[in-house]
Amino acid sequence: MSEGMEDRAVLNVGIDLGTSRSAISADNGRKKWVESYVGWPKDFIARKVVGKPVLFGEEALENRLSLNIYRPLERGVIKDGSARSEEAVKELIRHLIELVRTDESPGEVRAVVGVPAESFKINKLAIRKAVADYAGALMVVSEPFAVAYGVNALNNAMVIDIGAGTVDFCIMHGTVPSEDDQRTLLTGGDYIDQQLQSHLHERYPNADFTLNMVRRFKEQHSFVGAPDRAVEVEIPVAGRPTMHDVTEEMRRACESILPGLVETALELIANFDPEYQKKVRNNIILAGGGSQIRGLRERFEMSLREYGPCRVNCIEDPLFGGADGALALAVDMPDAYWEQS
Amino acid sequence: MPSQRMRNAELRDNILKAVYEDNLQITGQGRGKRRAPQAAGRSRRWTALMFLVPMFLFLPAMLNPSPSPVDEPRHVNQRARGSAVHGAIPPPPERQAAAPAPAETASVFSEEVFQDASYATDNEDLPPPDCMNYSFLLAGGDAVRLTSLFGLDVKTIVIDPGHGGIDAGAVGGSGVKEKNVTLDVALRLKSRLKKRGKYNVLLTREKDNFVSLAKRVEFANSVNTDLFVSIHVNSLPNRDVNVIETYYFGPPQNDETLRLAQRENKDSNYSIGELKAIIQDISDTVKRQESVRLARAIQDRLLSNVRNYDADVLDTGVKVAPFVVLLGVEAPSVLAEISCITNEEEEGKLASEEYREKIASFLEEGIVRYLTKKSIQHVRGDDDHERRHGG
Ligand SMILES: Nc1ncnc2c1ncn2[C@@H]1O[C@H](COP(=O)(O)OP(=O)(O)OP(=O)(O)O)[C@@H](O)[C@H]1O
Ligand SMILES: [Mg+2]
Ligand SMILES: [Zn+2]
Repeated sequence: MSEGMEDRAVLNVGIDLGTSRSAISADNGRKKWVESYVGWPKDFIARKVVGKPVLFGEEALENRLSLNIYRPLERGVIKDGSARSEEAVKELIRHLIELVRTDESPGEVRAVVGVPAESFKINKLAIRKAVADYAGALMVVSEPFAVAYGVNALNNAMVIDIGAGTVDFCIMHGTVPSEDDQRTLLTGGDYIDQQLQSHLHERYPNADFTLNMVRRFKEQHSFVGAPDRAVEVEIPVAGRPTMHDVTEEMRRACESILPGLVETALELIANFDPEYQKKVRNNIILAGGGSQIRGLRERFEMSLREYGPCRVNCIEDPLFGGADGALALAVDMPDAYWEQS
Repeated sequence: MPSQRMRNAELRDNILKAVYEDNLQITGQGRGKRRAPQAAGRSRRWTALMFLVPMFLFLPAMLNPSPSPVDEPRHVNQRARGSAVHGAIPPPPERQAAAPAPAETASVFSEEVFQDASYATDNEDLPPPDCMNYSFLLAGGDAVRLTSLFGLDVKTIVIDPGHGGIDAGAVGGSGVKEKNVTLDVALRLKSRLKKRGKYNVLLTREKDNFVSLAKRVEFANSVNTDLFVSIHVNSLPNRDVNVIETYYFGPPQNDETLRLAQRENKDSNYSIGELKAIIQDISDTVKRQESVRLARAIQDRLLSNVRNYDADVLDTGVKVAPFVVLLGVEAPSVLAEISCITNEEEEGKLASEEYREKIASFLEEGIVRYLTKKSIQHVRGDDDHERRHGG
């Protein structure tokens, strides 16, 4: 490191610990993400196969036959409170920090970790413990709150984070949201995948597809409302790749989350006085991977309109919205707070 | 947006302070420290925290998707779990309870991960030798006992009832557990084979206890078994389906495998040339050929018999998958998925003693068929002719 004190003494990072994807943003400008899979070799033989003591993300998935794979935040919470799942969270965090750390990075890391709202309620202590080894100082916040902070929606706003395990609703009114300001639904991306899979099984009983394949289809072709064009995907039948039309199934699966979104948004907003309701209604922000479903923003807005004027926007970068927000928190947090954390 | 930031400066400060204090509370340092200005909000958060501490203690148990050692309440399905956790929020409509296969994420020793991969695997007979790309095959070497080559000497059969103890395996909609079905069928199969008087039949577990895969393998090898048959019950996301499938060890045959191979070769201590030779070698081992035959015999007997009970049962045939339990055992080894517990009708049948006895008898037929065929065919050592000469 140079002698000038130009270099920062700490590396600030924001981490979005998600059910399906985890992302990190650092103030050295690096951003990375991995699928939230952590895999340990099943035994010594498998250890030999994969050549590593622990694997992450895509690589873990590719080697799933040799690994015990954990998606540590299944359904938004540390999976069963088991030591292994906590260990998985720990490994994931370590891995993420390693991804953004460079040779020049200062040794000390300050981390703000955004976790799904449920997990924040239930596992925050465990998560804190898991991260403690790798960050000198850290804070845990709920994911939708991190998103809101990142887009400066501090007041009169509602963030809806459509993740994999959960959909988190969070109303911002100038302070850290309390329990009453938040809701969680289980109808996130995983739910859509299951819906789609069962629709497809119904229509094409002879086709072979895994949940992973179904998720990929969804991520390529998701939409609600009127289709732009027919959605066709390749699914093996008796081992041979065959094109299948899945337009209607895709639409049905994606639309299945709409009623819950509308209902819950209305319910949450209704808790506030009418003046405030109006403001929140005009500042609804969709975040998370599921916000990319084509036509979702429009359909959602249309449905809410029936109850009064409103405006729904999508966050620009659904992949890093949470991590960036957490990073903003880390950077903005006064030193004095860090020192005591 | 600097200007907006400025406008929000005060708001921001409050929020940052609140985050800080929240986190102090998490670590239990909160009490003595400064409080944020909004006293009302504070006290609410405190009550929430007091409420959450007990939640933190109990929820893991409630959420635990794998069964607890004590018999869990039978009807705790996904829906019940969902509402337990998420209180007032009703779970999404209809299918949510049904759809998620509880084992989509792997837990320790759940072979469901393998099932996932098997979808992508063809049902073709033998993989081409260059698909056999697992360096870990090296570990076992060609350890097949030569006596078993000549088919005259089969004495010890190890039956491996899948799962057990804390590992319930798949659980059906009305609570039937894979571990219980596999054990019962295994016990029945054992007594059937024993009655034939020629075999020493051993089980990897005789009661409802947890046995690791490694221990199962170790046991089978320690008794010098001649055959190894692992019994499992399938679970599928599509509840209408019933399939029967029998596996032997091998890599799944798809692109993923090839990529896996490339990476492995890179990381392994062996040169490509060395690996190729060894892979070639192993792909021809007797263990493998015999496992294929055993798998075919079992699949055939199981399927044609089960057809009498369920005309719609799907035949996904003999499949290849790298089950560690099959790899480690030094004798011909197969894993049979005898039924589908997620299929309501099947679950009902599996609950009946009579049907389990039947399944045991089908397995017996398969094993005996293999053994008798084997003694006729051992001389040839390739298996293309099997179909023509076998029946
Ligand atoms: N284009 C797309 N259309 C629909 N869904 C998508 C698309 N891209 C990603 N997704 C889905 O978004 C989800 C991942 O989003 P995200 O990364 O926000 O979730 P997460 O943070 O891991 O989950 P959670 O917030 O529940 O912990 C997955 O279910 C993924 O399949
Ligand atoms: Mg998220
Ligand atoms: Zn099983």
